[in-house]
Amino acid sequence: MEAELLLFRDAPVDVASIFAAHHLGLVRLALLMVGDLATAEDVVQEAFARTHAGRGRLRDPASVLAYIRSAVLNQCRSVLRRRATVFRKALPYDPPVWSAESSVLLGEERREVLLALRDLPRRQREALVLRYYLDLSDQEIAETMGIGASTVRSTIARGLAALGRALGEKA
Amino acid sequence: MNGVEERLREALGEAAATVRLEDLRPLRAPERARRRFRVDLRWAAAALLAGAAVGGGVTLLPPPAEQSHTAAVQPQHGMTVFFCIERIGALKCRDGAATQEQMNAVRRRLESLPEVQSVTFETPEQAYERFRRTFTDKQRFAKMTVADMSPMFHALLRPGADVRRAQSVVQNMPGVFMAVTTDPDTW
Repeated sequence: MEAELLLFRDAPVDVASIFAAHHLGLVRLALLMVGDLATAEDVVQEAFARTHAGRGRLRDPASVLAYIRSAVLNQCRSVLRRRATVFRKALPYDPPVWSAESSVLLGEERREVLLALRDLPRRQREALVLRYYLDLSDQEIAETMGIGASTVRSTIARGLAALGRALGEKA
Repeated sequence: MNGVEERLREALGEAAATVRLEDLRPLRAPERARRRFRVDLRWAAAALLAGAAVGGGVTLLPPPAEQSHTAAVQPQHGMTVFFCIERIGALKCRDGAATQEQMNAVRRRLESLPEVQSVTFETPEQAYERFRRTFTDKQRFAKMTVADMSPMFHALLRPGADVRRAQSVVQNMPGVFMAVTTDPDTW
């Protein structure tokens, strides 16, 4: 990455450096939400552009990463909404990460879990990914998703239960 | 951690690990929204040109001496109709540059309006020359070229004409980017 391109001297918070440092993690997070790498990269790029455009409003360095994750999640939601619209008119899209092809890479067992996760309601899916992929605390998840910490706990509990049912396990 | 949590954590971790840093396209530094800027610039330029048409070289309105005292009671306004060009980037112009047929249709419509006294056509080259003469000191328009200029009609409206009605008649016609009048009430 050309670091000099990503330096914004007038930025109250150095959004570019934070994105650069967390680029891989953010793309992986987006991948788990949208399913394919190309879209995940686009999501992060768009989130970067939007966060950078609004960087003047970012004053608290401690909350910037949560803000950025929120931006990525919001972009993922937009992508999924657009796909839902397309689904009504076209053949279903089969994203690679949970597609049959990915079972070669990940194994059928992993694919089964990812498919069950994909079918959960959006809020449960996001909370579970933030907890079990990023290992975020209840409070961090709450900040990222814009919901209360107690809602995070109940959402995760319901999500795990639903996932367990789908996988034929007791959560 | 129970079985579901463990399976979920492992599945997420492995799926995420299929993406490696070396696979990623570098993040691009955000660019200025050139397209939007172009439209904003054009709006500003168009409004300025329309306003400047009064005293900037286009004989749109009679000189003050020719305006009778009744002009104070019944103000006379002008209207400039800007046509779409390829690079304008506005939704209304998604079909590209206005065609000659579209421009002819707008001229006929303008000339049929009771509000319109006369119609003058201005080419992009003429508009650019006028723009350059009028706004040489405006740094923010320094990059405007003749290719940024629309062909346009200047319509002189009769004293006391319903400016808003005249504007509404033409501004949604095919090929028209916008119609700007010298009446501030319609801005």
